[in-house]
Amino acid sequence: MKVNAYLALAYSFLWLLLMLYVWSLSRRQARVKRELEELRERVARDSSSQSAAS
Amino acid sequence: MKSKFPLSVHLALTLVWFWVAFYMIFLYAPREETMGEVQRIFYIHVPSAWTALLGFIIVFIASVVHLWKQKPLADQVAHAAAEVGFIFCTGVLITGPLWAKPVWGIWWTWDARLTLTFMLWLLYIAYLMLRGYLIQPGRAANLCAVVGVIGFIDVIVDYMAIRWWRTQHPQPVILGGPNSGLDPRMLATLLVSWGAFLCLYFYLVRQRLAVAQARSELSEIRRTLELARTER
Repeated sequence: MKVNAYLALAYSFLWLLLMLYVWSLSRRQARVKRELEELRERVARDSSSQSAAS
Repeated sequence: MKSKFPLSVHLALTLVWFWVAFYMIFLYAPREETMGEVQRIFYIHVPSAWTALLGFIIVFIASVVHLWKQKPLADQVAHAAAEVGFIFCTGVLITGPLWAKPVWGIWWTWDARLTLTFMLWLLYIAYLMLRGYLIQPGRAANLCAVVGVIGFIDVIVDYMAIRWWRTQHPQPVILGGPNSGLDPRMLATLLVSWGAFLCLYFYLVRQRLAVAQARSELSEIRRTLELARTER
């Protein structure tokens, strides 16, 4: 392997690793956002059924 | 809570800082005479290592604060710092062998510095796995804080390894004694690059912290809702 290939590989692997982590973080953020939306809907459903019952 | 330093501004600053760092790494820093172009790995390998060590220092401080005051925020900071620090420590273990092979002729050797850095990486894994396996959040936080405090010993010994023992790994180039030192342009490039890595590290820790805080708020709302439902 040519010496400059090691340089290119080192930079590429490090950025790939960082990009993968950023992707995993954004997935987790999206999941929390989705759960929050579901919770909001549940609260809205609960309060509407409660007012209908009273 | 609104921050005085929004995440979008932090991200923009990180990107600009990296742009400057890359300019300096490839166009400003001189070519090293013995190793040639491959020496430019130095400008990402060393900042990754320093950032990973800083990560465990933050884990240590936050763990001590958590054990002392039992503050959930300190535990969340320790967890975020450990997770992001683990990424940078992995970066060190990737870029190191890719630099070692063309320069030393071998990918890896079990000298004190390399072994202790590998141990630091394993400690990060142990810390993160402990979080995943323990179901009771309070117990997990306390146990992880103990690992965070004990793990700090490795940080100190790892930092001092190249000063205490003769290793295959080079001696320190900064604060390393009378025969150490760097070309001023190389030193400036290294420091600018480390600044960019630090900026990225803190950006990622803030993002990770935001996820942890949103998750804990969600659990709190869920608990309140369940309580209200059982009372009805």
